[in-house]
Amino acid sequence: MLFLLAWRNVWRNVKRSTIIIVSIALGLAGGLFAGAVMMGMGESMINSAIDRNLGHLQIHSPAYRRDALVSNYIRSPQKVLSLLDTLGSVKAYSARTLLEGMASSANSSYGVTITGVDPERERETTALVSMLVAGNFLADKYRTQAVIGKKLAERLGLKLKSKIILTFQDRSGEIVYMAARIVGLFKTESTAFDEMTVFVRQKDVTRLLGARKPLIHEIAIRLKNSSTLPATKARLASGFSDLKVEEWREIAPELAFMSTSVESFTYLFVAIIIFALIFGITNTMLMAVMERIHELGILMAVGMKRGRVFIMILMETLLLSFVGGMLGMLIGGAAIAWFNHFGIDLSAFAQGLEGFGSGTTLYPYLPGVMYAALTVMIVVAANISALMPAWKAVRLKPAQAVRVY
Amino acid sequence: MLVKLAWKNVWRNKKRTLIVAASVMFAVVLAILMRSAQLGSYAYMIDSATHLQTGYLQVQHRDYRENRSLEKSYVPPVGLKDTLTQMTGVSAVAPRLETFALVSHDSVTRAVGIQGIDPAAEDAMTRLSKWLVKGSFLEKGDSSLIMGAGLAKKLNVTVGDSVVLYGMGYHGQTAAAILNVRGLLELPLPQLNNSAVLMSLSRVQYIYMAPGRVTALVMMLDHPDEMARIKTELARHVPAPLTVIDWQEMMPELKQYIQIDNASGLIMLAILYMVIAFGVFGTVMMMTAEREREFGILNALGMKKTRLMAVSAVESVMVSFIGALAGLALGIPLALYYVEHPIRLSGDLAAAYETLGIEPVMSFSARPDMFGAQALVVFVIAVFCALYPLFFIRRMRASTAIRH
Amino acid sequence: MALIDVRHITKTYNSTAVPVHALRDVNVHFEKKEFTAIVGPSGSGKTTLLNILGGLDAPTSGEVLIGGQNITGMKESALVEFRLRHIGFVFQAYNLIPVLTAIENVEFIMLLQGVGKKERHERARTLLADVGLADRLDSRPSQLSGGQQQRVAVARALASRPRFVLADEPTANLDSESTTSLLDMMEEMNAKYEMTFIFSTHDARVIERAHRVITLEDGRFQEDKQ
Repeated sequence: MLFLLAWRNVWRNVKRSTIIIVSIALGLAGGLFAGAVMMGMGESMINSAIDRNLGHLQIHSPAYRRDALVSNYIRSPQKVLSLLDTLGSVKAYSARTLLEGMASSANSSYGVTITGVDPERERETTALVSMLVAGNFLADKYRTQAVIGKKLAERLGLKLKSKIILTFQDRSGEIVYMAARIVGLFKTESTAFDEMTVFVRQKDVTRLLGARKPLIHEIAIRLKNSSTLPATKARLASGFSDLKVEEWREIAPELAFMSTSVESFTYLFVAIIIFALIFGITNTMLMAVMERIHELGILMAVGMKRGRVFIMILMETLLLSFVGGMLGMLIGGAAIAWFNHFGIDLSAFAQGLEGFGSGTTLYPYLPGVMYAALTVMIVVAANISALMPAWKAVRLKPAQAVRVY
Repeated sequence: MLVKLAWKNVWRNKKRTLIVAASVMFAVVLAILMRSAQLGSYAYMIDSATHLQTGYLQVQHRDYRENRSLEKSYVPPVGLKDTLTQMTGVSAVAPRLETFALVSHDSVTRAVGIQGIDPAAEDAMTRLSKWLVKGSFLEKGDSSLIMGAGLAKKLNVTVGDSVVLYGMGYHGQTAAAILNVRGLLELPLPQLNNSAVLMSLSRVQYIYMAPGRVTALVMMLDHPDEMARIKTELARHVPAPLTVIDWQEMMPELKQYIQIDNASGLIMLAILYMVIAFGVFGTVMMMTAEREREFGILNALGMKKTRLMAVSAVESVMVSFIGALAGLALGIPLALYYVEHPIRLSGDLAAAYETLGIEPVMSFSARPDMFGAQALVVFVIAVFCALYPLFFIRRMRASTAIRH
Repeated sequence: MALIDVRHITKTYNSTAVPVHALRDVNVHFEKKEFTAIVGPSGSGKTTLLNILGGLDAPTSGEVLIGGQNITGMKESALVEFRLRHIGFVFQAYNLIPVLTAIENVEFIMLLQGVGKKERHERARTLLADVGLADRLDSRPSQLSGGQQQRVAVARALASRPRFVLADEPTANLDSESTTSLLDMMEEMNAKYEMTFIFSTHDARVIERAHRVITLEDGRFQEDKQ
C-alpha cells in the first residue's frame, strides 16, 4: 500500500519526476558509455598484443625469465611440442629462438630482439604476416633473410632488398655477424614493436650459433578460444614442472594493468557524476517534501507512524531512481551495442594510439559485472540523497504542520 | 530601481537563495576539480617525460630525427650555447651525444643506448642524480660510466666492475673501450632502466671519434606555456642545417595520447555539465512553483508581467553569480591544496602509472583560465535555467496563482 | 467517568522573546454524544486546546485524561497509536491524500489500523454513502468541491471508529451552503453513530448549531453554555 502511494506520488508532479529520471538516466548512460569506450581501447590493446606476437600462453625455461641469455634455452623442447600437438584447445604454436643484439646499416644501428622462427608456424600463431606492408615473410630466394618493421627500416635508412647487418652473441660469448637481405617490411599497432623486432629464419641462426638443433628460448601458443586458457595452462604446467608456463597477463603485466586501471577510471568518473546527481536530487526531493508539509503533518496526526512516512518518501526516490536506472541502462546499452557493431573510427589519432599499441577503430564494450555495479552505484546514491529530505519530513511537528496560515 | 528590487528579493528569502546558490556553487566546485585533475595529469605527464627524456626543445641537425646516426651529429657553432642559455624563459641547456653500442661483461652482451652528457648541466636539468642507488654520479671528463640498474642486473655487473663497449663511430670507424662502472641508477621507465648507459660527453666524443660533436642541445624552460614563443625566437638564432624541434615532434605518441585523453576528458566534462544542468533546472523549477502565489499577488496588485520577468531575470542572474563566486571561493583553494598535495594512488591504478614511468600520483592544475572557464560555463547553465521562470510568469494567470 | 477530562491545562510558548500564554489553567470535561463548539476570538487558544485534546501537543502543565487514561505523559510512539485508534481528526484543509481517491482515503486509515480488506471496503462504502458521496467514490480530491472534500474527511475520521472526532475550523474555507450541509451531515453522524464531535470555530452559523458552546478568551475558560 505504501508502494502504491509512493508510485502515485511520483507521478504527481510529472515535470519534476521526469527531470530526476532523465538526469539519473543520462548520468548512468554517460558513465556506461565512457567506460565502454575505455574498455574497448584496453581490449584493443590486449588483442593487438596477443595477435601480434604475445599469443595466449608462453613457455620459457625459468632461467631465461630471470636472465634472457642465449644459453638459457629449453632443454627438451620436443616433449613440449609433442604434447601441444595433441591438445585440442591449441590452435597453433611457434618455437622461437630469441637473441638480443643490434641491427645496423651503413650509417646507423639500433638495439633489437632478433627472433628466429619457422615461418609456417609463426604464420599460424600470430597475425604478423597480415601486417606486412611490403615483401613476404621469409619466403624469398636469398640465402639469409630478414623481416623488419617499417619504422626500423626508416631509422636505419634501409628499404626492401637492402642488406642489414645483425649482430649478436653465441653461446661462448663470441660476437656473431649476420648479413641478411630485407625481404619483408611490417607495420603493426605498436611503434615500439616495429622498432625493436627483427624476424629471421630459425635455421639461419641455428647454423650461425653452431648448433645442430634449433635453440628454443620461447614457445608462443595461440588458443582457439581464450576461455580455455586456465585449463590449458594448468595442463601444461603440471606436465612440465621444470618449465615456466605463463599467460599473457604474466608476460606483459602492463597490459593487464591497463584494463584494470580503465575500470578504476570508470568508477571514478561515475562517482563524480553521482556527486552531481546527489545534490540535484536532494534539493528536488527536499522541495517535494516541503510542498507537502500540510499533508504529511496530517498523516502523522491521523496516526501514521513516522517510520512509515520516512519509508514512503524513500520509496518514492527508490522508484524514481529505479526507473532512471533502467532507462540509463537502456540508453547506454543501446549506444554501446550500436558502436560495438559499427566501431568508432579514431584514425585521426593513429600515432598516439599506436604509441601504446591500440588499433584505430574502437569497439566499445562493457562487461556485465560493470553494468550491474555502475547501475547499483547510481541507484544507491540516489536513495542516499533522499535520506535528508525524508528525515526532514518526519521531524515535522504535526501541530505546526497542520496549521494553515 | 529594478536592480534594487531584485537585490532586496534575493535577500528576503535567504533559504531559497541559499539553496539555488548552493546548487550553482557545488556545480562549479565539481567542474573545477574534475577539469583541474585532467589538466593536471597532462601537465604532469609532459613534465615527467620532458624531464626524463627529451626536454622541451632540442637543437638538432634537421635530418637527425629520421636518421639517428652519428653522421647527423654536429659541432655547435661558437656562442650558440651561450645565446640559448641567456635567452629569457630558458632554464637550462645541456649538450648530448646519443648513439648505440654493444656492452659486454664476462660472456653476456647487451645492446644499449649510450648518452654522452655534461654531468653538471644534465643533472641540473633532469635531476638525474636523484635516481642513483649505488656508487656515485659522473663528474666532468669522467672516464667511467653509469648505467640503469636493470641493465646492470642483466649484465651481472656492479659498481667497480669493468665492461667492454663496442660500437660504430663517426664516419663508420670502430669504437671500442673498456670502462669502469661507477654508479647505478634505478630509472622509473623500464625501457630506460634496462638499456641506458651514461658517460661524460668528452669521453664519448673520444671513443666514437667525434670530437666536439653533439647530436642535440637539450633545453628546459621555466614555463611550459612559453614554448611556442621561445621556439620561434630560437629558430632565428639557429643556422642551417640545424633546426629547433619541440617535445611534441619528438614524442608524437605522447602528444596524441594527451589529445585523446583531453578529448575524452571534455566529453566526460560535458556529461557532468548535463547532469548539473538538470540538477539546477530542477531546483529552479521548484523554486518558481513555490513563488507562484507571490508572483500572482504582485501581478494582481499591478506589476506588469514584463516587469516581473525582468526582476526575476535579474534575481536569477544575481543568485547564479553569487553561487558561481562562492564556487570559485571554495574551488580555487581546494584545487590549490591538491596541487601542493597531490593524491597518492594505490593498487592497480598505481601500477599502471608506474609502467608508464610516471610516479603514481593524481596531480592537479591551477591554471587561472581553467577556473574562469568552469565558473563561466556553470554560470551560463544557471542563467539558461533562469529562462524557465520567465516562461512561467508569462503563462501565469494571477487569479489562479493567488489561490495556491 | 467523563469521556475527556481536562485538568488545569496551561500552555506557554517560550520560543519568542515575549512568552505567549496560549492557555491558562483550563478545566473542562466532555461526555459521549456531545456536539460541542469551542469558540473565541483569534489567539484565544482554541486551536491549542484542540491540539492538546488530540495529543498533537503537550501542555506545559496539567493533564488530559481520555476514558480515564492519562495521555499527557505518553511517549510519541504510544500517542501515534492512541490517535490512530481513538481519535478522529478533521482539519481546515489538506485533509486528504491528493493521489488517492475518496474511497481509498477512507480505507487508508483502516489500513493503518490493520482492518481486513473486505471490512475496510464495506465500511468505507457505508460511510461515504452516509455523508452523501455514494456516487463519488472513485473521485480524487482535486475533482471534489471544498465541501465534498470535508465530507470525505469526516467519513475518514469516522472510519477509524474513534471515541470522538476533533475538527479544527472545518468550515472556515467553505461557502454558506456547503457550511450548512456539512453541519447537517455532522449532526446526523452525531445522532446515528452516537459520536462526540468537538470543533473549534468562530463562524456564527456554526455556533448556532452546536449543542454546547465553550468560550475561551486570552487562554482562559470563560463560559459554558448548553
